[in-house]
Amino acid sequence: MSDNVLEVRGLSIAVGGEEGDSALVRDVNFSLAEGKTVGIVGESGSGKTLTSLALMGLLSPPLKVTAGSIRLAGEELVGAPEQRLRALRGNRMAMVFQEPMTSLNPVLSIGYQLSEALMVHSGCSRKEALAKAVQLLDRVRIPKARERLRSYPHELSGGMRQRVMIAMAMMCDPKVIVADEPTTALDVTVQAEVLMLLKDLQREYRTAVVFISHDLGVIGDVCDEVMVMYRGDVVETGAVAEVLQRPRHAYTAALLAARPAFHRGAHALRLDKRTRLADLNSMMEAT
Amino acid sequence: MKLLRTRNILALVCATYLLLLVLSTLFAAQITSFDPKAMAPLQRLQAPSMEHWFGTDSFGRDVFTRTLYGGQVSLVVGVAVTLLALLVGTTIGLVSGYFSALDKVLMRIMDGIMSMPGIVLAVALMALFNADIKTVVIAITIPEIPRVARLVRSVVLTIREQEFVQAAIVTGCTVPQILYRHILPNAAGPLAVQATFVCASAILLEAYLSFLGVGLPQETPTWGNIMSGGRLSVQIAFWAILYPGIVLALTILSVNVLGDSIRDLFDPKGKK
Repeated sequence: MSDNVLEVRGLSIAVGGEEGDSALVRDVNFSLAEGKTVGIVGESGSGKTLTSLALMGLLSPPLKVTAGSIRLAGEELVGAPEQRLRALRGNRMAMVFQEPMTSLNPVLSIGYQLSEALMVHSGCSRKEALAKAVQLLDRVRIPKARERLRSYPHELSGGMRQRVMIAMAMMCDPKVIVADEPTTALDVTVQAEVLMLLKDLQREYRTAVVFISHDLGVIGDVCDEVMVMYRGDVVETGAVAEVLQRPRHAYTAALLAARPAFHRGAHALRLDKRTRLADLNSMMEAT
Repeated sequence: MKLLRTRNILALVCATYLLLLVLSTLFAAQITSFDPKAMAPLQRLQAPSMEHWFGTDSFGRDVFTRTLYGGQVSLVVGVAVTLLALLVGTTIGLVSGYFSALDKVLMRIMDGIMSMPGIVLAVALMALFNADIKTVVIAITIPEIPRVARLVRSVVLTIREQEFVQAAIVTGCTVPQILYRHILPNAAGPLAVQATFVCASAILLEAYLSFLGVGLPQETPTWGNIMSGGRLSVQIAFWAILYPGIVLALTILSVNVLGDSIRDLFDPKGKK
């Protein structure tokens, strides 16, 4: 058990109200070893992002964790004081966001934003932090890294910004990175580059990654294990090859089948989808 | 990127005027040899001439000299009020934009201040304390604070939902770091514009206060005091009220025009 950097047991998230809680995420369990990747897949509103926010301790009222535990390298995060969480965030656990256009501050230089995490957590000087920033920018293959420190986000392309975000997340050598749809906003070629980069870095730094996506292709590419979520429940979990090739749950099968396929005509695809979604709803009610 | 030509020229003229004003008030003692406070009854109410450019007032004091010295007060008040209002207003705006619990209380206080005309509030505050430059600055700053606070608050409300604020939280930044380092710089454009308007209205308010006789003591040369003194003899000596009035009007105009062109600079849609 102690081999796992991240242990999530029975995690439930709910909206607290006067009439009691209504659960949004129920009973999520997974564990993550050093250097491994777990994927969370599901459609919009299935609870993927809520789960990731809970991992970072970012749920704000009325959202709250109602049950379960999250352990980062053995340390319980649920109910930990804000001060402790702040010390862990950016330091032991970091996050990469979906939208590289809005997740960098438009009025601060790349160098400042990169060096901040290290300065906040290790108390080192700006010079040392910037040196590390250059090293990481080089590592994420940003050309002319030293000159880039002075650039502002609007001077970079989407793919470059996302690589800067990844470098930002890596600044303090975190144990766990939560990547919430990190490649969804990028076009496919850039997406492939960023995924490869993420895998390389992970191998090099032994970082564990929680990878959230609705794209089964991407999940199949980067994850070791996968968790399929539907309406707040984990419907299937297992090794990624297993789940994607031989889905046991009907919803996973439906998700797999819902991917657009190029050899079918657009018309066929549309019809296909409608019938399948109707089937899906009746199926879920039956369970 | 090219701004309209005429606007640029206008802004340049105004900036030049303000620069001249600042320099001439700073070096007032070198520019004129008259004492702004010394009375010379024999010289009273003289029309503008080569010796007395703006004429003399009913005590025989040189109006040009008094206008220059009065400019010192106006500019000090304008700058001090702007800085103070920015400092306090920004803090209130940041806090109330970020913490919704405090927002209600702080914004109701701001509404309360705003519901009173600035001049009335300033007169009331002046009546409570000694008339010196510190009190004048404070009395004028208080009515100006809500304008800054509301502006900053509105920026915070839109910015705090942005992903980069989440990213800053995830980085482990403390709340003050997030507020001052990540959110406030995004308000720099609108704040710079607002600052010029606060400055213009502070100079005007100071003149009102002096004119009404609740500002600095009558013998201190301020633009309001000069005009207030000139009011009594306006039918025979219009110059004691006209020239300081023109200087005041041009100053306010220039500051406002500069504010407008700063706004154009920051407004992407204004770029042609």
